[in-house]
Amino acid sequence: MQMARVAGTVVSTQKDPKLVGLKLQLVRPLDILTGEDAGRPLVAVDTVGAGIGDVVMIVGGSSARQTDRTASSPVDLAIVSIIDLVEVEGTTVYDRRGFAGEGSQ
Amino acid sequence: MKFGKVIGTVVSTQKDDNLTGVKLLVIQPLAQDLTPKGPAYIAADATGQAGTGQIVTIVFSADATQAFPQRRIPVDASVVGIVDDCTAARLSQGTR
Amino acid sequence: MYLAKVIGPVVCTVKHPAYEGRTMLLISPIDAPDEYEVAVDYVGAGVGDTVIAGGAPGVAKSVFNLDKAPIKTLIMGIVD
Repeated sequence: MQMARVAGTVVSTQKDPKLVGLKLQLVRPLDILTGEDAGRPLVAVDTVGAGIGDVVMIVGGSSARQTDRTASSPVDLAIVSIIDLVEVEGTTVYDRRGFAGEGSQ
Repeated sequence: MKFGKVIGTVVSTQKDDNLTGVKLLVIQPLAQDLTPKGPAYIAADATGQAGTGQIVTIVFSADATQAFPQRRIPVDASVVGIVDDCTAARLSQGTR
Repeated sequence: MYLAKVIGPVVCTVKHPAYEGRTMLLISPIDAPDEYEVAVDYVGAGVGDTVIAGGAPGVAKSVFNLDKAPIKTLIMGIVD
């Protein structure tokens, strides 16, 4: 799984019927160690109610369909958790409460 | 499976129900000689016993979901073994 | 499936139940020595052997008759 930041919301009316009711978010993958952008922005189905600015965990490929909401939908990327804390080798690299290192801005 | 080194942990309270109780680890991917190779990612611990500093084996995508007893679990990387020894990779874990 | 060279054994005491009692070997594709995979061997391959390796979702489940098998790569033959 990858760490990412929710950068925006994607709205689509004309779409596969199996995407109706699913919230689509634009996410920016982040480097876990530095908190910096890593890779192109991607569209993910949000299964946990994340908001803009939240740091989340995204799961890709067929695994993205392994949630109750996405089980039968044509999706390949899902937000499956909102990250509270990331600790690497004893150092807190991200803390949702704001005492973060480079992981938050 | 690939080798990885556990370098940290991820804590999350708001998450998919089937991720409840599943430990999330920060993994540094390793080449076959156990040197770091590529950016760190998050894996779910299917052994329940992996900890920081250990060399582990990891499966991905559809195989990763197979590592858990739940019918559905949204994970694309799972730790399935803790490596004790791989002479080919010149590993002597426990001494590091 | 692809051809690979067996580099050596991988030993794990703590492992997923699907790996219980199985032999894990470090292998490297013969045409890409910088790449590797940790594979489950069920045909008795040894270090230095050239083997047929591969796998796809569901293959390990049927080979080992398991409900769930988080196993990607199998060694299914030794090349003569």
